[in-house]
Amino acid sequence: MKLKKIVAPVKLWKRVLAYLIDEVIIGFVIVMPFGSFFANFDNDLFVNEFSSEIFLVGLIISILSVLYWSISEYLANQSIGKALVGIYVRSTNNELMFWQCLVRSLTKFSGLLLFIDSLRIIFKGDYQRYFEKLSKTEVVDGEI
Amino acid sequence: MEKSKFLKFIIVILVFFLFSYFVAKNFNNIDFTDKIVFIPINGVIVSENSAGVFNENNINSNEIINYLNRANEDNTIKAIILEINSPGGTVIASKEVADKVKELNKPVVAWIREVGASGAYWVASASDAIVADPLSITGSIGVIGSYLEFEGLMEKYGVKYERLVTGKYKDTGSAYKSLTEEERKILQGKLDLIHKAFSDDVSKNRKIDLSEYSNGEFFLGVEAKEIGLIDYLGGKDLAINVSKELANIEKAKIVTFKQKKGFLSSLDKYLSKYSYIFGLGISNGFLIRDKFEINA
Repeated sequence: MKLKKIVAPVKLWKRVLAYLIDEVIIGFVIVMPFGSFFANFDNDLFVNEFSSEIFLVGLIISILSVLYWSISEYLANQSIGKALVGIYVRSTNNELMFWQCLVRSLTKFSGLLLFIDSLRIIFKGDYQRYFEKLSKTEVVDGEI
Repeated sequence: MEKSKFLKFIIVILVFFLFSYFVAKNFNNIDFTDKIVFIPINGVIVSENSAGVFNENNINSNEIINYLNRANEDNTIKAIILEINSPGGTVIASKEVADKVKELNKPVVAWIREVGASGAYWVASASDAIVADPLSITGSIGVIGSYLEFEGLMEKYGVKYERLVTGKYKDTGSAYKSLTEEERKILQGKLDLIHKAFSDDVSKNRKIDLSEYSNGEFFLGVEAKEIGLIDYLGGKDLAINVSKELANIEKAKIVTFKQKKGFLSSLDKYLSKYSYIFGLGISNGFLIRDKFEINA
């Protein structure tokens, strides 16, 4: 897919909104099917002890979330959230490869990792994360 | 949005949803209905009035009984584990909890951690099985009513106790005067009665003759096992396995009752910690109470 036109560097609010939309989609598509499982732990009387099942389900959901971003960005240069706000992912050197999509999405495995990864956004004006730089990708506002 | 891109998104959503759905089916089928609940008994067991607003090292007997009632009423809870880390408590508070444990209609296992002595052991003895570490402190079947008496000190500073009572025993146990021999005999008699009730109840609960061991001596887990004060040497996993065996279940979700902490409780905790640190230096020598109260 060739770059046609870049309108502008990405705006922060668009990145945040796109992320929130994707999280909602992940909630419906990936997390919701586990609803009955989580209902077992929904009790305000108890604190649940750590169980291997909870760990495993958490791991599966995190892996699927990372894959959702990686695959959709690889296939369409956008996740659904990004498509709805009109921002794109592109490679900074050549055609966007799957490994790049995977690496840039790795920190979405956990909220804490993503927060640390996103600290660069505070310090740099281009609003790109550390793992986006590492994967040689960037998010742009415009048309591809 | 381009049609081809829209299609790609639809496919991505469908694939992820179906994959999640089929993976989730395996987990959704896990039967978590059966639960084993841990009820923590940490600190000195006291009745509501003596719990105090600023004392985090106490646990209220009403609170424990409330947990026990809720566990008993909840049909999904198949067994209860009392996680005991307590040096004992007041007589009534300890007895109330022990009585409630006996009333429960589901298996109860007492898991003694660092210490489950005196009143806390009374509570443990009421359960169906007791698990303790070989080095846990347990036993200490005895009653204490010692207190500081200030008469001599007051005299030294010219402070006099003006005794105004109706009934010659009304101020028995006052810290401001020495006990007469008669008063001492009365108080000792009460302690003996309480001790007998305590010892008899533990003997009955454990179905052993305690006459040799109910002298206030504490026992380590290994010793307690030999005497018959506890049933198993081990830790948390063993306590869970024993409770599963008693409840006749193979799998259960392990849960702990939430101890809700409000603002006052948090403030209480904060203040008591600092008060404790501040007071530690000057209070080490005053380990005996300054008023007469009976504790098991």
